[in-house]
Amino acid sequence: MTNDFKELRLDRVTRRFAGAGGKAFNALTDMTLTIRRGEFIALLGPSGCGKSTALNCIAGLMPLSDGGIWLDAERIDTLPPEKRGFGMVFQNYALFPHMSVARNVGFGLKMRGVGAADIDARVARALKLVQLTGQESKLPGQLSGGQQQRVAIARAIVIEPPLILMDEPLSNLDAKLRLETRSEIRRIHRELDRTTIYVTHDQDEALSLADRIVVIEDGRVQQVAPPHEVYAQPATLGVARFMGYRNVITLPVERDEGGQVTLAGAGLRLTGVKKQPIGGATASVAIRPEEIVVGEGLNGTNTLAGTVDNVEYCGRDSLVDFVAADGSRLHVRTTANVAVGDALRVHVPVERALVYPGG
Amino acid sequence: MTAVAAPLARAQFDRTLLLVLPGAAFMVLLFVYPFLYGLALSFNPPKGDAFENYRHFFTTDNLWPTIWTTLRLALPVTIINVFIALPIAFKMRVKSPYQRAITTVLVIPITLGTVLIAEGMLTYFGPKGWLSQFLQFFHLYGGPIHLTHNFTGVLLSLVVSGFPFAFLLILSYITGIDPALARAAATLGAPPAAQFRHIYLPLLAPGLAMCFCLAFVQAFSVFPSAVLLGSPAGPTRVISIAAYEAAFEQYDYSLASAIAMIMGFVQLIIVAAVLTLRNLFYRGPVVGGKG
Repeated sequence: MTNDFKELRLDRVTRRFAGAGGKAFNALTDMTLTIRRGEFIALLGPSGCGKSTALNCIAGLMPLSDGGIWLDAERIDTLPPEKRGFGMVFQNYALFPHMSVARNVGFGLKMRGVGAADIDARVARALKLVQLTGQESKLPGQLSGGQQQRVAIARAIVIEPPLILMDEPLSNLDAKLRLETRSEIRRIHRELDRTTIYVTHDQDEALSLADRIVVIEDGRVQQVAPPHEVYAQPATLGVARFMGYRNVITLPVERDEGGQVTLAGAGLRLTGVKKQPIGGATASVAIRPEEIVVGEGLNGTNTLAGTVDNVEYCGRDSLVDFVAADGSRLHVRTTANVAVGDALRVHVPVERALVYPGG
Repeated sequence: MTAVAAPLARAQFDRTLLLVLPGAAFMVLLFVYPFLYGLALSFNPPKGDAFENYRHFFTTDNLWPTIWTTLRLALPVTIINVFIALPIAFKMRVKSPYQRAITTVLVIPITLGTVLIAEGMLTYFGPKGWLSQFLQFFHLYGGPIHLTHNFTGVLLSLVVSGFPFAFLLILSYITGIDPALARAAATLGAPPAAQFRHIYLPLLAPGLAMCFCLAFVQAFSVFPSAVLLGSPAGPTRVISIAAYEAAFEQYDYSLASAIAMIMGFVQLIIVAAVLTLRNLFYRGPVVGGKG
């Protein structure tokens, strides 16, 4: 067990499962990643993408099929979980139902042979950190979901692990509690000054918590970048779709020059920024609903005329379904007051139209 | 039934309650009534006062010791069954290609019934049985083996017939425990032995107590194998044999009923004691949070 480390290195980590009909499939393929001490890393992806598999491999709860995991110079993927000493917060909390809050939190210390007086002091400190002082003698079943979650966090951090692993820890909480616990997790990470790996399928969680986001799709790492980069410059079309680029239009390539690509077809012409080399004759342009501007573009570029087909009022803005003259449909977020049937001109800023190969 | 045809003015009668009727009638006719009849009969001896049968049982030298004889057989059998079944069920809790095959093999004795098992064991464990021949053939043990017509024979047969029940019961309790709990314990530094001791065992304890009770009651009421595989006149003269003799050799139904009542009472004491112990353990849901 290590108390601290400089680098956690995943080297081509691969995990295969037996699928239907005895055919093996890769849940995780060649995941290579270096995590530095102190970082908050979010593994982000749709459900079933392999992010939890990656976390379980790091925790030691699942053996690797291939590759290795290194903690500085020590190879750890061959160690059982109890020898790795990482703290883990489970999605369904996995609190020991027969133990009081204090015994749950103190369990890891007891396993390490810490003295009773010392356990009490450290449990008290951990419970204070998650703001659960006074609940020591309750059983997990007597706590609310949010409190259970904080017990799970206290139990994972009390052992002062070099690395804390969290598997969708907020997915069982209601919206309000989720926001509160989210900031709490960020605060605890800051106060402990340790490394955290956080698995989630929620972009907002990943964007708000992480120093770096690892986007995984179909078992493969698609992009490793700071939140603002993943948000503004998704590396692939899949990442763009996942990060809220709801408008994806596939059209023939008209011009591919410098960094810009113009796609045209069926009365629609859009120019955007090339994100990946375009190989084929068609390409896809991805646009966020909130980055489409209602009105006319400069010199008329990327301006579409059409009608409003549907309006969903969302409070501070509305989500408008816009149908262009050629029939292609765009989701537009706008504060403008529009009604179904209105004629509308919308404009897509060239630098916010991201072009990817294929579709 | 004119009452049913009358319009229901207020609260609707919950007709699903009628589903309870067949079971309740069955219980009353085939258990409650015979039990009460036997209880009354036991206080109604052909001669002497109401307690004559009970006085007779506890003062007769071939009657009262049958309680100890039966306990000496049933308690070890129960403990053996529960504690052999526990580790095997624990191993079988995770799905594996062998799980179903092994479970099937282990459960087969359930399908045979006590008499068939006893007959089979007489041939297999007998002085000229396969086991004896096998040991002699391989020069592992030359002497005669005494595994039938004694205490050991009955003990073995009760283990064979009782094990599948204990195993299936414990298996269902174990698979009900959220495996994430043991994994959480592992990440907190608990090696497998500690995971078992601190997580599985405490959560299983109430189930083990229940399993113990059922296995015990089953073993305590042993009759066919005690006659066929034991020595019913001596070391395996269990309480049910005493009741049988009273009823069908002396035709003293009143005394037989009294013995049956004593038998039930002893079972009740053991079960009550175990269930009291069970209350000392946590008995809530065995999952760790929402899931």
